[in-house]
Amino acid sequence: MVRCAMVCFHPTELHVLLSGSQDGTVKLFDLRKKESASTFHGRSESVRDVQFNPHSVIRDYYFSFASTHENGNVLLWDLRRPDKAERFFTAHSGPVFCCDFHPDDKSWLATAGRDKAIKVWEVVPYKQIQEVHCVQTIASVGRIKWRPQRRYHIASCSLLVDFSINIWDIRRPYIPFAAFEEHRDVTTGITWRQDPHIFLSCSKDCTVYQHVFRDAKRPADHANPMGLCFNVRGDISFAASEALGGGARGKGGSGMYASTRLPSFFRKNPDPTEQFRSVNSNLSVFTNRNQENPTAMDWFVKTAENYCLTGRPLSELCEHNAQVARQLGRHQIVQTWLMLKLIFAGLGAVSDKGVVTSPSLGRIVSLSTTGGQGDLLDRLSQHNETSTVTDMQEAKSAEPTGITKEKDPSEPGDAEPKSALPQPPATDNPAHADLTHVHGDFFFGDGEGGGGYNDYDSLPNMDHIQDWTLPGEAFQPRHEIIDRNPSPEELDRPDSPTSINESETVSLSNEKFLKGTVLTPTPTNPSFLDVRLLSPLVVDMLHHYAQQGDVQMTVSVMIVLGDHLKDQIEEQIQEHWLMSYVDMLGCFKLWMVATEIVKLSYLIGVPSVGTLNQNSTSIHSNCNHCSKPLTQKGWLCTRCQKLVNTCSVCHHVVKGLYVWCQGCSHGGHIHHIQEWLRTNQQCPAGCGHCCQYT
Amino acid sequence: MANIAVARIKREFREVVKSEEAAKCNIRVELIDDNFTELRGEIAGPPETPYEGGKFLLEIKIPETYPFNPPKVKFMTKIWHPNISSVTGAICLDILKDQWAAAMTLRTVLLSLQALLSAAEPDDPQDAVVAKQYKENRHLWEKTARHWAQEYAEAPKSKKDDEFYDKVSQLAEMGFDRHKALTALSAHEWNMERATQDLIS
Repeated sequence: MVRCAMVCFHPTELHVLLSGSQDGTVKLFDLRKKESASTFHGRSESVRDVQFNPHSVIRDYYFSFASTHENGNVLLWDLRRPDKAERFFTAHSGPVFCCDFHPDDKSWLATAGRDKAIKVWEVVPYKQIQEVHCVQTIASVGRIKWRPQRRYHIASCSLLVDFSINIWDIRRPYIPFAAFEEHRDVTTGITWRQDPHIFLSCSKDCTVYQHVFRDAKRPADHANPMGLCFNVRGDISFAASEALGGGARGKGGSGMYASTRLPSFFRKNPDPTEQFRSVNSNLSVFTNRNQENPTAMDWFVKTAENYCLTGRPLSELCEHNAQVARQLGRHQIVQTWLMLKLIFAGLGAVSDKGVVTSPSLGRIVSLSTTGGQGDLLDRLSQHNETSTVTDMQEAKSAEPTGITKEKDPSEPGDAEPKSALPQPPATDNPAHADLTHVHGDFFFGDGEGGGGYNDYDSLPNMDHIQDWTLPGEAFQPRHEIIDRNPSPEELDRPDSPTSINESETVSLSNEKFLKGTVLTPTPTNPSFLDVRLLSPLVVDMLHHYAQQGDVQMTVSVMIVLGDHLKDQIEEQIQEHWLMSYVDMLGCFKLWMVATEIVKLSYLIGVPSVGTLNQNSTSIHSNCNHCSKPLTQKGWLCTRCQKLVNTCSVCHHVVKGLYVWCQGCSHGGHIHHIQEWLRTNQQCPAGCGHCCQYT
Repeated sequence: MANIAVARIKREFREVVKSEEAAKCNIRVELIDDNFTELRGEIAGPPETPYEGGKFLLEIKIPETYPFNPPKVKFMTKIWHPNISSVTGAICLDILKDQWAAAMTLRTVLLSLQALLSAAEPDDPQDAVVAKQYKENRHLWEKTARHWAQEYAEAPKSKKDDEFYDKVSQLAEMGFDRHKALTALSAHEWNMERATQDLIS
């Protein structure tokens, strides 16, 4: 039993009924008989709509009907020929939900589908089927119905999201001519009474309305007559109707923009027969002459291309991505990756490398044991928020001084045992200019740049720190810096006695501290650092980046962390992020990266995005010798017994990348075509077309 | 030789051998060497032309850069045709020069040459003497071309052309090379005196 999608009675024959079903067939019934009279096999996917041609009084159209299909095809049939459709064309890039023959114009057929478009086709026998009008709507279109006695008007309702019924004038496809917004849920059906001013509609809100055209809202009257847009190169275009003074040039525009007033090709002479008031508007384009492009997105492209998101251990991925960010001078991102590495991979790496990443761990453990966990979390999140602000200062500081800095032997009184161990990777402290945040960051290892360090030291009010940190931990992170990162110029400098002085006291206290509590648990039980407690912070961080507009970072981190964040973020939000990123990649033509993201999103459990790669993956092709549609798999056309899609140059079947000229449809192996066009201008197939590949 | 060229020639060779035209003995191709750089082609003179019944041999050289460049083709059989040199056999045909397209094959080249025999293009000549005759004295050109085909391309002989044989034989008896005699006679509208003068000078 397969679901039947649509039934339709013959406009003049009382007993004749058509039904289209999801198995891709259309059945014709005669109500006087029990079985179906005939079955039409469309060789397309599920049928979404069937419609008889309403002009059945005319002999030519008596037998004709149309069926629309899931794969975007529209088939035109003759009732007497159930084996093969008479005409067939691809109307939409997705399911075609409905079609409607024009009640007056016999050649017009309107179709609408999931691709949010209503298209009007001109179907004339023996001529190619042409698209004559196209209306873009805001949501996928569920039903359409031509308005009687109004040649250019068509009513539509959407399948999702939009509850209103729109009446379009197909000559003005941007704003509905009229809208009816009575329904509180999606409208499912429209039918006109024979009068062009009255129609009925039903909806999922369990109501049927009879609308009178007088009640219509006219969205055009409320439309904003201005528009503003700018592109990645920083050019700004601005359009406004003349009535609003749109003709005035961008006064007060700074010197970096050159204004180009486009010739007013939008200007139309008012046509008295037209129903619409014509509005003259002007479009001004301001070209950005500034060399230093403020909106340049080079970093985005480079990052997208170079990031490594999968296939290696987590720590390596973080390290790699941090490196990428560092090359682009994005220090905050570097920070984030390194922190993530410490939080998530640091634990895993312990057993892998047989080395305890103890300094940072030890400190965190000590904190948690002394009840400082909450404090730590607070500071972490604080760091997340402030770090962008300090990014500029950060950029000024030198490169991090290295991953494993040798302990300075001249350091007096340092008896710390763990300093001989390899240190965790240096994290550049983004907040060191801001004293209040220093501590929070140090829990994740330090190794900070010399410049920043000096800043820190030169601050005299050490008391201030003690004011708000817990006793016992106040010095320890302080100590760690000195211990690990004795920046040479700092040590050589005689005029900073504070620092040396400090380090002595700190190391003393630290030694005591370590012996007392920390050392024993740390190396044996590294998983003490509870990822579950930290991951809400990471999630916050993801939100933060997304809010900053850097959805790239959000998605990259999400994918790299994968299962670590499982069930922590709502799938809808994940989907939203992923889709935004994929869209952005599309804008920059990074199709390969986008595909990979889509593929990976399946792995991290967002299948709604992951299935994107599986949609619309089939290409319907015709034999390039005899134009017969190729229904079978394989390389041989069944009609002319010739190989199809051979390379025009080497005459072999192209397996792999096939390029072809959009103008003449000849093509072949990409390198063969390239080589051919190096010396020739015309198509290698000898069709005389001057091929253009872009 | 480039891989692509060999692969293509092998394919095209098979295509010619299997083609309908080959079955009717209209075109033929054979290998000269094993590495597919040189081939011997043969086309039949098209019906209702002076070349009817003749067999014309072609020398086909495949360049290293095939199929990006056209094959080098010339007639080995002497032929009297406005677009083919009566001396060297060089062909003036656009598809063998600037109009070459990679989609063409040995088969289409041979068929194009066959078509060239039935539809000469005197306004774009290779052999000016022949082209002049073609335009000014079409009847004589036809007879001459038929005679050449009989002489060199094994076209069936008809008694009509005995006049030309006699003239050639006369000159040959005078000690001139037979081919040179024929060429001179053809070029001088079969006028014995002028041909003799030409041969002596």
